[in-house]
Amino acid sequence: MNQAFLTSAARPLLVLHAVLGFAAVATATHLAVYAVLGARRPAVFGRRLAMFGLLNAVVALAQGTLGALLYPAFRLQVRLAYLDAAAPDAVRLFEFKEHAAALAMVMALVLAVVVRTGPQRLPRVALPALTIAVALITWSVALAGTWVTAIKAIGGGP
Amino acid sequence: MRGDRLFAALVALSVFALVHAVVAPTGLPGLLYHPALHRWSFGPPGPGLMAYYGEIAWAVLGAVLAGLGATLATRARPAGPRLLAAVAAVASAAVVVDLVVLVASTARLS
Repeated sequence: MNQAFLTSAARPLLVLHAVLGFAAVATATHLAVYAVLGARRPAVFGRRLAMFGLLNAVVALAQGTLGALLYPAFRLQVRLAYLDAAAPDAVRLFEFKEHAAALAMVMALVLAVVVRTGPQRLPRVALPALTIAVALITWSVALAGTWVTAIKAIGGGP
Repeated sequence: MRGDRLFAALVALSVFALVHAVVAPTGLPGLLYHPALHRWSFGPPGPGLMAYYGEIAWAVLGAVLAGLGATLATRARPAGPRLLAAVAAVASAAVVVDLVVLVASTARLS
């Protein structure tokens, strides 16, 4: 079988992918907390909100891009070679994770624009609701990715 | 090009989520990647082919076009509070719809 793109570097890139994933969890959670606090006291938390909006977008973009680049190696080395037959539930979980990660990445980019262009123009509940949603999605993606990796990882041998 | 970037961002998110909710479960033709052959093609999804990149590309294309359209539409005057509240509600609802469709469609995978 031919090797997929990036297979030879899969293990270090997977570790980097995990590190970025947990950084995305941290920044998305901070963003949600500051959005909730900032809804009541925007003058106090506005700068932190803008900073975590930008950080979350940068981390989510890096994380999503790296995940997309590693996906072909996962598809051949893990899904086709092992999970399809041995753990179909893990395949479903992974497919959910990949698509949810794309949604979280776009939400993070949009929220970075929102927090810098006047969230006070929106109804008070809008920004907390959207940031809590992106934090929950990011947590789900990280947990699903960790779960699947615990079953079988790229670069993990036979 | 100066428009209402807040409004445009929320419109783009709404369209991304709605297109994403429609494209993946309906199996529309799109960009496909053959991971073993390192080759790209265009068509309906099939066994052994990766449709993921194409599905995301459709949604991103829709979001970019919608965002540009919203920016152009608000060049003369920024969106008012009612319109912003409406588009924020639509964006939130679109995210929920996308997640529900995503959970339902991945549960059906064989």
